[in-house]
Amino acid sequence: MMKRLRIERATGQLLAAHPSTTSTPGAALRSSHRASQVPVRHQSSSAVEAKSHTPLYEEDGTDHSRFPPLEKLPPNTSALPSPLPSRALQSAKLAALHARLSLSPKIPLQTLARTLVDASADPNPQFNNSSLAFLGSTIINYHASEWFMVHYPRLPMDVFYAAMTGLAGPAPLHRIAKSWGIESAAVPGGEVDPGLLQFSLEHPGESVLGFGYTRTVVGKINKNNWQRSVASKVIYDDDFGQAVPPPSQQPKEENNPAEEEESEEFSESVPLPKFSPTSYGSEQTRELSEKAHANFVRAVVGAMYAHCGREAAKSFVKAHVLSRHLDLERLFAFKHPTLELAMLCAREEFDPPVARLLSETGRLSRTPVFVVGIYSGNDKLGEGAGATLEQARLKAAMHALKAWYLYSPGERARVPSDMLGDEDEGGAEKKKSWEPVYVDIGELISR
Amino acid sequence: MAVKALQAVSQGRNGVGAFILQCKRIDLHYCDWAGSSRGMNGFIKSLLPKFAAAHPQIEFTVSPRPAKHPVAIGHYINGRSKPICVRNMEPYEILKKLELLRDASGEKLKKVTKPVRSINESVRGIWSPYHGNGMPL
Amino acid sequence: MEATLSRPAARCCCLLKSTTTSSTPRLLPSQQQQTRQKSTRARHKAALHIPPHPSFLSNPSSPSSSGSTTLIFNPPSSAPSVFQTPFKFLPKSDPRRRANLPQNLFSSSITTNFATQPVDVSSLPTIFDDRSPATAPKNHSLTKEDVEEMRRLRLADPVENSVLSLARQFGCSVMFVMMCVQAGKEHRDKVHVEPHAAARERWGPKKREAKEERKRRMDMLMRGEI
Repeated sequence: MMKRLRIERATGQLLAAHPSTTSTPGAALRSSHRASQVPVRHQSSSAVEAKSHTPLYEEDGTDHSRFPPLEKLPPNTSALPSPLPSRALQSAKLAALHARLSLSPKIPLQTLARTLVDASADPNPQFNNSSLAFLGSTIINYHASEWFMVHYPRLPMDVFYAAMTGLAGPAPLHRIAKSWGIESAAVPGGEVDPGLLQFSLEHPGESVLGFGYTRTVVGKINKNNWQRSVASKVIYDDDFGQAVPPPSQQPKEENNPAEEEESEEFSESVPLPKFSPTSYGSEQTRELSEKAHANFVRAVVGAMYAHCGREAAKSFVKAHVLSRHLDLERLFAFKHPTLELAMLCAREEFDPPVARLLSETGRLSRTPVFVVGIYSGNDKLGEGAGATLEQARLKAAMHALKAWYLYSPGERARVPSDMLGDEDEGGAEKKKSWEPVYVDIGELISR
Repeated sequence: MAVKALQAVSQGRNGVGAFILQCKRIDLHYCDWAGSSRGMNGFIKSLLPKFAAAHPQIEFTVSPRPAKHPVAIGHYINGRSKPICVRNMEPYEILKKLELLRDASGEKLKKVTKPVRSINESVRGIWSPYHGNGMPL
Repeated sequence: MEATLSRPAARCCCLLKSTTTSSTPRLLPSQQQQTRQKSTRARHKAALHIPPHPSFLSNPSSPSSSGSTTLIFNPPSSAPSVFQTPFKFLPKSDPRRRANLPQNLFSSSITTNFATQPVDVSSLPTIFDDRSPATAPKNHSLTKEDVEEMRRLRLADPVENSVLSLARQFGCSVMFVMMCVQAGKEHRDKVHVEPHAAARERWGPKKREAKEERKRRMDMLMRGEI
């Protein structure tokens, strides 16, 4: 891509490729967003160089006598940051995606096309998916958190945040988008297929996602890796326990001009550094791509809610997000499990825990195994097998603690949103039989 | 002191909750002139519209490829593709091949020796020599 | 395991066997019949022919088997999962607790491990832990003045008044002393860091590696990876 760009700039063909007039109504709606930097895509730049004297170029620099366009695009399409909504009806990819997700026919293809435009591709909030993504994120996070709250009422807050991130955070949503077969456009623009996910690696856009307050010391927290208390996480931070970044992303704003300068220098045949911050596969690009994919999934849920209502959005979230497998047992890391278990037993007024040897084999051999159980009175709380008595005791204590934290009232416990179905009769029936869910008294050790 | 959290990402299980057809695109290539494409041309004219209408999840692209054998290429969600050369085939044979492409998961073909493959843990747990009282023989 | 259709003698055996045991249905009539040789029969077939688990046999001694329905209790021989909540951990509102299952099924000394034979818990050997509050009798009636005194002593001479000696002196747990007062950083460095640092200097590569491995194993243990 970059190599091609250099040829383009050398030939100077692009000077005529920036018409400033806006002819279509969609283009007219867009105000002066990104008037200066219009992304231009070139499909056959080598041809441009070879036949630079022929006057046959369209506005995007393509020699249409050699490469006839598959689709008749409206004029000045490539000047737009994202495809026109009317083109959504012609996109085969978009229709296939609509059918693949079994979306309701109430959701028009234009809306689905809009969910595929990230805020980094088109900063105009009337054309990108930021509003739908915000709506969708609230719905996904609500259903995920209420599911955890009801089904695992004793999860410690940190583990709860980790579980939320593992089920509804950007990483799992990125995987969901990938599992839907989403392809992304190399560079966003008005002429790309509306069925491709469009996000820009060069200009990370701003989209408000989720609730939370920006802490005054957020810079120091990020810089010095300060610990935040669980209580302050609940109050200030977002749904995943992550500190909310300040609203204006100063470092990113600073990055952009630098990159532009870089590309301009590069156009004057200065060799590009091998790994620029936006080169493919770097940490930053991976994060941006993950964010764009996650926002797309959230926007689809938001569109579902907007067009089909609450129940449809809920069943969609249940089918695609909550049905995924997350091993909660693997989310725990302990520091002093025996001590924590003793405190738990003291708080709950159980007998203090005692570790007892249940069975052993090969004590004098190279590979002994001890099976240790932790008892409180006559009840066994947990057991573990290890190569030393200490190891086995720690494992038994961790087992007992996990058994405490992972208590579940059962798969069939109902969440509060099950009671919201008020229109139909089934909802009324459900409403009658609501029983309050179990609520734990709180963290064992508060920080 | 308190519990720390580790991070994990949930695993998808296609068909649990929602099912996504793994074939996302089928490319059909034909030649107007060559005899090996006769069946393919007939298929495109007669059977393809119905097949495509029955499978809106799949994006179909039809394009000429002069002086080459006709071919049907399935593209899958996992990024792989499965090309099948359909030279000298009758339209209904090609239909069978397209159904094969539609039903494939895109994974490499491998021998399935275990009757069940699952990430759910077993109901009775993993057998351990240190538990249970065994059975006297 | 051999498929012996090609050998005539074995085929005779096979036919003979099928005629003698014709009452049992043949599972795979179309496939090749597999038969045992005399040399492997005892090992593979006779040894595996074991009576069913005692729980599956009707037990006339238990009073519950008088009716038509009996409860078959054959617990798995596997380590218990963390998703099986111990009876003690069930909240009061849980239906599993309300059903009062363990009291009805087992005597109170039976643990939640589904042991089929009753285990006397007090007969099991305990594993002592100095920090565990269960082992040392504790004095829960320490006053504020006691705590002040403890702090003063510890800060005045942390070497003489070690945590253990203070715990003995006041009759409380070591943890409680550590919660009340922390020695200064100099003392901690002098007692815990400097001697170890000097000893670490003398370690050879093997010992260093072994110590690092041990630490790594402990971290993995705490994360539940081993």
